[in-house]
Amino acid sequence: MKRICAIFVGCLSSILTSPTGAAEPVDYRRDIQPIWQQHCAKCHGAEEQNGGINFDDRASIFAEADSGKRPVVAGNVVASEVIKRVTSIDENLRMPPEVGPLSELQINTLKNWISQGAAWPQADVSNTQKAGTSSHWSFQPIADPQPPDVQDASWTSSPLDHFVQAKRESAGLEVGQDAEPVVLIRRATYGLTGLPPTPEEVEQFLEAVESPRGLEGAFSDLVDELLARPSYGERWGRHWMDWVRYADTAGDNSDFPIPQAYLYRNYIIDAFNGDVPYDRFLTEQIAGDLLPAESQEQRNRQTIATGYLAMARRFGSLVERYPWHLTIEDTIDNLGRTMLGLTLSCARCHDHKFDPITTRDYYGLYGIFASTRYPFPGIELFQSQRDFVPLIPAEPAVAAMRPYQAESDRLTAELDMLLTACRQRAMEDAARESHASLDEQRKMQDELDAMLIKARRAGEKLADHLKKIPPIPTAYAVQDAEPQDACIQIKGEPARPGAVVPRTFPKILGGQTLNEADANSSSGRLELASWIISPKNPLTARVIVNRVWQRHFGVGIVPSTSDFGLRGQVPTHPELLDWLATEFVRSGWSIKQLNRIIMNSRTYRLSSEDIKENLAHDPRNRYYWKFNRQRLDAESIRDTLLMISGTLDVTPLTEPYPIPPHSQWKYTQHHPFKDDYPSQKRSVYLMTKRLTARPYLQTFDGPDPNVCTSDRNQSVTPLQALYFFNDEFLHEQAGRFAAALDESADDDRIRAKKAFRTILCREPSTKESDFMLKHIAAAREQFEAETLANQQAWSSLVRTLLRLNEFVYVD
Amino acid sequence: MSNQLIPRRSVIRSLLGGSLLMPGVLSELLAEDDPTGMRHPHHAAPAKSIIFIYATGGVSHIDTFDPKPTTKGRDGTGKDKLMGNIFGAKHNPRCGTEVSNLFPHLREVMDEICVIRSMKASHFDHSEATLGMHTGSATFARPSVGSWISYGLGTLNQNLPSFIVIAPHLPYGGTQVYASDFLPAVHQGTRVIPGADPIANLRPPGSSQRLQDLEYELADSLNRLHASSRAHDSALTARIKSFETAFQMQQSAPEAFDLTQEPAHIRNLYGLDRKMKGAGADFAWQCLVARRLVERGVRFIELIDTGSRPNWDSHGDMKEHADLAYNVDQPTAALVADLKRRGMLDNTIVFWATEFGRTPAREGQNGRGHHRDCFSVWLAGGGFKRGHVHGVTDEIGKYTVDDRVDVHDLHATILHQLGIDHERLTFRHAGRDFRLTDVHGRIVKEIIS
Repeated sequence: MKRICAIFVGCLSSILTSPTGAAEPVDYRRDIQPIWQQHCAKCHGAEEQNGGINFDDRASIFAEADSGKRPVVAGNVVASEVIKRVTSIDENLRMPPEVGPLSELQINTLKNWISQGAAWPQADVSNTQKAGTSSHWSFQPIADPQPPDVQDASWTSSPLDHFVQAKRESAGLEVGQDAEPVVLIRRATYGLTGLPPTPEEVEQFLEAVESPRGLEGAFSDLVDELLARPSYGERWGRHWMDWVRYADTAGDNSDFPIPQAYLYRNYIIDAFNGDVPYDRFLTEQIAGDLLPAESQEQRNRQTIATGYLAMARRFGSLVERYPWHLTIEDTIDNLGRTMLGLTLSCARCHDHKFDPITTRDYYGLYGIFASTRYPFPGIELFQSQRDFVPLIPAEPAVAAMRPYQAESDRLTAELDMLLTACRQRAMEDAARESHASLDEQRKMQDELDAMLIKARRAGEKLADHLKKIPPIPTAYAVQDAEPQDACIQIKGEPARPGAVVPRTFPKILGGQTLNEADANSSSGRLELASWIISPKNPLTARVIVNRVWQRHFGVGIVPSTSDFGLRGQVPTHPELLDWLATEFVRSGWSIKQLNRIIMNSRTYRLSSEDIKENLAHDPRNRYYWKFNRQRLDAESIRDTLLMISGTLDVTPLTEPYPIPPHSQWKYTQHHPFKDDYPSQKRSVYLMTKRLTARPYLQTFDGPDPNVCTSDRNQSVTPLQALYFFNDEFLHEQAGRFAAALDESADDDRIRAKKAFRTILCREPSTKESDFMLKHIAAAREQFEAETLANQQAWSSLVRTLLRLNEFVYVD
Repeated sequence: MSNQLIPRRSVIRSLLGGSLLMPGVLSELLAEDDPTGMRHPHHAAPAKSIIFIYATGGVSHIDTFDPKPTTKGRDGTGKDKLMGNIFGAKHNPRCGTEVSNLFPHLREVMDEICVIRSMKASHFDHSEATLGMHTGSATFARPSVGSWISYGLGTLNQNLPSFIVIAPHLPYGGTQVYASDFLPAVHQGTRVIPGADPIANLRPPGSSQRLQDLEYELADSLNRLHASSRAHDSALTARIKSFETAFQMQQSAPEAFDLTQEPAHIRNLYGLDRKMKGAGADFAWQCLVARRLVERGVRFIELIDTGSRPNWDSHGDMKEHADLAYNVDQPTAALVADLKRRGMLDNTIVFWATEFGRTPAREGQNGRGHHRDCFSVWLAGGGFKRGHVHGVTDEIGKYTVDDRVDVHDLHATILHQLGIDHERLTFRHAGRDFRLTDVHGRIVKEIIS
């Protein structure tokens, strides 16, 4: 090692002393390109551009790399990072990695080439794909396709059907029957509200079908009526909550509760019920606080909407090593998946391996969130909320804080100063680490540790002070912080800053940047929202219409609903996807209208019955020759149990959970927040904790509140069966319904029919009735006291009906 | 016994069509969940099951399996506050492995055990390091190692879950430590709380066996009518079968947890019903049940001795370790010995771990802080070296001197002994293939016999 070093020093000095040199003129094509190709281009070439460097691309070699340095500075060997790296004695830095260093001759050739002006013939500019373009389907503009002609036009009842039928005809597959009206109303009611239709509603619908409105008219009316119910927002708001990984706790190791989180939940539900245009909905969640507001009420609503960003996961327990970069990663990850169908966060440590997303793109977004002040929900060693956004006008808010403000400012300044010092020291240490001895490294560590402890103490002081301040109404929401562009974090490590990247939208999606005035005065969130909903961005509309489609049919037109990238799946019906996206935008981004377009198609109204011949060719029903039978999700099962027992409380939860006041908080990783606040309300209103999942939700494939849950699994397990056999809650609800049944009629056949209709939404056949009555008779015999026997027998029948496949699956 | 399963005709009929003709059904169910259909090991390997014993809170390596002397002023009174093992230690007379006096029973079975003293933790804090040890990721939610193994190998017994976690209290990280996350739900850990009702919903609240049989019969009739026009939907068939399995589980699971069937000498060996020190649950119950579950084909059993509080996190006083060790020492050693005597140890891994070690320097009055840079774990059976110590730490127990092993290496090696190639056990999720070991993991060949 030492020897190599000496040689390098020798070479370097010889070049420095004779800059023009007597060296042979170096020819790029003959002498340099082979070195690039053999030693560099595998990791820094057309395939991968690690560090933002591409030795196939002339411009990239003279431009600033992710590290902030230029690989080649013509005429300046010392400033050229390439030379620094091929001659480094530090194995972590030396290029090429893992294999031995370049030969002395090669290194000299490179140096000579650079000192001679680094000539690179223009003709050799690579013809590799230009950054910011891709031939991948999802990055192409949304087309406005016309519904195709079909052979048998008598089947179709909407333009949507044309797309589906044309495909199906070309595959030579026969279409199935239409679903029975009783099947349709159950499907639509669960689909839009997460609850079953009552027997009366079924009856009315069947009558309407027989009326002059006919099936299509009656069904269209039904869809309108369901969309107008408050339970629609609760159902579809829950879908959005799945995607934005909604929770009432922060996810740090003590799982701090966020009493204000519910405001964002209710905002979502209200937005779906009010059919807030989707482009507006996204804008409010990203930048609602930056939108104009005409009243305090409107301002509050828009502030609360940014709970979407606040909802990013929190990590760690120490104020002095608080990993904000992970929270920002979680923000970008969710925004990418949920809104754009892209896995952006792969680019945190390296350019995306598959998608045209670079590390620069990632840190271009990162700067926007680094310029955003996230609320701080508290951690083990900082037991207080901080930076929540007041929901009262500025003046009284300031007045309420006034008695405490000076002390808050003083303690905050002290903490910030210490944290800044720690950060600086950590970066200095990181830079020194590679050439420090083990003892020096340990000494550096000890010194930094001492500084960190000081910062921790300052944090504790501030938290203790903040806890004393009487609370004012606030939201778990974000605000703008000091605007800043972010540095690339080399290999995703915050202590290794690279080039500064201006805030920007990924190149492939338009590459818009902030103008200077906006860059200096704001985070850029409002602009980010406008880029996301811009017509230039082909993803946003496609992604949401596909998500809505998936929640109806069980599978998306693009099955990988959160990944439209190169590793995702391709659309089964690309024209249909574009047609839906175009119609959606044309309708003013109305989700309700999108639901209407989908549900009022004949495709939606198909029966789920199989056609044997089709199964052989298309077992997964990719051509939609039938409707996909689907298992009820966890919430629908629980809510239905409460509904049939008559104990479902349908009023929304408009208050925070009774979490103890924050002045009393003492949550630690030893005693994390674990409280639960059971209620008889719909499941969407149940407390959601990030660290302690409900066993019930785990058993029935509930959402993961830590990450975007694209779609729900529909698993079948023995533990689910045990739930239906023996769960106490289920037995209780069955008992309540049985008691009501027992009183409702004198005739067993009528009672049995009522039980059947309530649970399965249709009339039993004679055979089915006979089975039930036989069971009732046999069950009664099991109980001696007659008074008890009746109710027990009916309870037993109800439990049995709840176990049926027909209950748990929607045809 | 009155609750012995006496299947009625319809039950028999349906069982013959289903789960009694196992082991076909569960693998079918699993195949349903798992389109990649990875059910067979990648290579021949000794181990078939694993018992993972997790000691929560960070066990001091210095005072247990990597004892450091207290000589030369290393008693915590010096300016450097360095403190050696305060409990004394001895070598196992046959293999020579030195273990502190906290674990006299385990010391006796050290001939069967491979201790790794050169572990490096994935984080310096409990929750993160606990998640790291269980999922390979200290930050983001990922499937548990038990879920991965269940996914990779399936189960040997359709009447019991393939991944069972016996935990009186939740550990740090909550339910995430045994969650299947993006793996199919059938692979999530089923938590068992020691006591009368170990698995939720195993007993009908109040209704009789006869009534349940009647209900079963009715459901079966109605389900069959429903299925007659839906014959090709495998999900419906799978769900009917899942009820048969659950029906069986009601019988077989309580039996698995019924320790009254164990003879007195075995109960004594494990120390069942000893008086526990402190608030601990009966760890002997957990160990003995674990053996019975392995016998019944459960793939992965995790035993957690304490929860997130109180536990081995002895910041204030190392003497807290004594009671905790007393509670687990005898039963754990008995488990190793019992498996050995029954010839089960060769294909069962017993893996003991904690999240990190404790500092060589005294903290507070007589405690120790969290220590990430080195700590000890041990493995027995399943083709691991017997009576072996791997890795060396420096003389105060602060840094690893040789053969550092990180959590990914440990996971890769355990999977290897179960016949799984950690680089090939993948699951496609959100656009990429995930692995338990992410992009890391080296098989520690040196500890394999």
